Amino acid sequence: MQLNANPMPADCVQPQDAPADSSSRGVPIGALHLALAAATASLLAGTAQAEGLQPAPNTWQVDSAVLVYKEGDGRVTALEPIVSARRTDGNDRSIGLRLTLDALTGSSPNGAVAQPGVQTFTSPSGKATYSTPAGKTPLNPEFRDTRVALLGSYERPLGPNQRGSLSANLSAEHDFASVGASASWSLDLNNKNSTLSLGLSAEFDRINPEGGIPLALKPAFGASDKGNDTRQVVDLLAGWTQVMSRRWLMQFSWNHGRGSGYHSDPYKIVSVVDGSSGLVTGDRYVNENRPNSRSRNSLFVQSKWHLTQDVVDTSYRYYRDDWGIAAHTLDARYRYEMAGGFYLEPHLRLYRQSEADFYRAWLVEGSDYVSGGRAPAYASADQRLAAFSATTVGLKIGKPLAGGKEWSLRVESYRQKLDRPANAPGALAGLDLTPDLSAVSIMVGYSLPF
Amino acid sequence: MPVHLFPIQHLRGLARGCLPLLVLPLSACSNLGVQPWERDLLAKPSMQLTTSAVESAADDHTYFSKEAATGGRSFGGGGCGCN
Repeated sequence: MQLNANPMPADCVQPQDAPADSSSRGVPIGALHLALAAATASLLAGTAQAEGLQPAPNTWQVDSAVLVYKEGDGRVTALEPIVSARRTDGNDRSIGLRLTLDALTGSSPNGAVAQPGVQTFTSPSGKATYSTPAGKTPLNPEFRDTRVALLGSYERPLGPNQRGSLSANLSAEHDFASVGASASWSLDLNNKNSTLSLGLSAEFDRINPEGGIPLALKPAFGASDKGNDTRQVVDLLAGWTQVMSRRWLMQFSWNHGRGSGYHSDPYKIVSVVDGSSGLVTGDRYVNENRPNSRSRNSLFVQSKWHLTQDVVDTSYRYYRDDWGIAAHTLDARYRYEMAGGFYLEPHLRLYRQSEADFYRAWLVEGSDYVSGGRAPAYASADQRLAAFSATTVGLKIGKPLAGGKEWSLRVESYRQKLDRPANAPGALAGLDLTPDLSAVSIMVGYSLPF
Repeated sequence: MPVHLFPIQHLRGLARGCLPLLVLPLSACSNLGVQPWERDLLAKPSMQLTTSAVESAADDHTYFSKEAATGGRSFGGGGCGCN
C-alpha cells in the first residue's frame, strides 16, 4: 500500500481495513540490490496510485513471511524467514527496518556436462571429492550457506508534491558480502494522477570464495589466483505511475545497471571434450570466465484493472544486457474476492531468455580450447546464462482481518526448460544434457500493526 | 511515364486515416486520471502496484538466483553469492 505524501483530502474514501504499508518491502536475502529496491519501491508506486491510506501515526506495521523453496532431484532447498517493520510519524516521515535470513542446502550444478561414465570432482574447498553417476548432470553436493541481510530506510515528504528516501543495506554470507546505499525522489503531477520517480543506487560486493578466486579458464581444482575480489554496481531507475481511470492504474519504468569487477561464478567449471567422442579430454575441466563488466537495461510496464470486485494484475518486462542476453517476462494474477473476506489469487508467469554470447555447454578440444595452450576470452556453462523458458504457476489464498491484520498462504511451482545444446558430439548426443529444473515453494505471510 | 510507387493520394488517405489515431490519444490523455473523491477503488489494498512487499522481494531474489534477467520494476543491481 502506498503511503500518502499529503494530508488526506476530506472527500477521500478511506478503506476500513487499510493494512500493510506497502513501502515496507521484504528484504531479498543475499542480494543487496533487491533490498535497495525496497526503499524506492514505495516512491515508484507513486502517490498517483492511492490516496488516503494512512496508517495510524506512530505505530509499527510489521510484515512477516516464511518461504520454503525446494528444487527437485536433491537440488537446492531454501528456508527464508523475513521480518519487516515500518513506523510512520505524524509528519508522514517513516523509518523502516528489515531482516532476512536464508538457509540454503542441497546440490548445485557445477557447470560440467554429463558423461557416459562416472565423473569425479574436487570440492571448492579442495578438501573432498564427489562423484557424479554416468549420464547425470554433475551437481556439487556441498551447497550450504546462510545469508543475513539487514536494511534500514528513511522516507519523508519534501514539500507538498515530493517525497525522498534513503536506504542502506548490509548483506553477508560466508563467501560473499555486500554493502550499498540508495536515494530516491518522487514528484506528483497532474492532481496526483501521475507520479515521476527517480532513483540511484550503488553497491559494493566482496566475493571471498572457498579455495580463493580460481584462475580464469585454467585447469580446474588447481591453484587459485587470489583470495578474494570485488564488484561495484550502479543502478538508475526512472518510473512513471499513471492513474488511467477510476478502475485502471498503470506503471512504466526503466532500469539501467552497470557492474564492474568480478562477475564470474568462482564455483563453476566448463568441460573440455573431444569433438568426436564427446568424452572429457586434455585439461578435462577449466574454470569459467565472464567479462569484468555488465550493462543491463530493463523496461517494465504494469497494469492493474479493477473489475466489479476482482482485480487483474498484468505486467511485462523486456530485458537486455551486453552479454547478449535478451529476456521477456510476462506475469498475470487474478485476485478473486470470495465470500467471508477471503481472496483467491491464481498466478501465471512466463519467462524466456536467450543465451549469453559466451555460454558454452562444453568446450571442444582443439577448436574452442587447446589444453595447455589457447583459451577463449570468456566461457561459462552456467545454466542461468543458457537459453531457456520458465513457467511459474501459483495459487494464493489470503484473508484480511480486523485491525489491519492479514494472513496468506501461497503455493507455487516453477519449471525451467532449457534449450538442448546443438551439435552434441559423440556420446553426448545420447545423454540428457539439460535436465529441467523444477521447484515448489510455499510461503506463509502474516501482517499486523504493532 | 511517371511511375507512382507510392501515390500522393495514398499519403493523404493515410493522413486522414491516422488523424483520428493521433487525436484520440491526445484527447484521451487530457481525460486521464480521477478526482480525489474517485479514488475509492485505487485506494484498495488489492489495487496497489505491489500488494505484498515481502512476497515480491522474496520472489525477486528467487528469480534473480535462477535467471539472467533482473530489474525493471526496481533496481537490477549486481549480484549475490547465489549458486
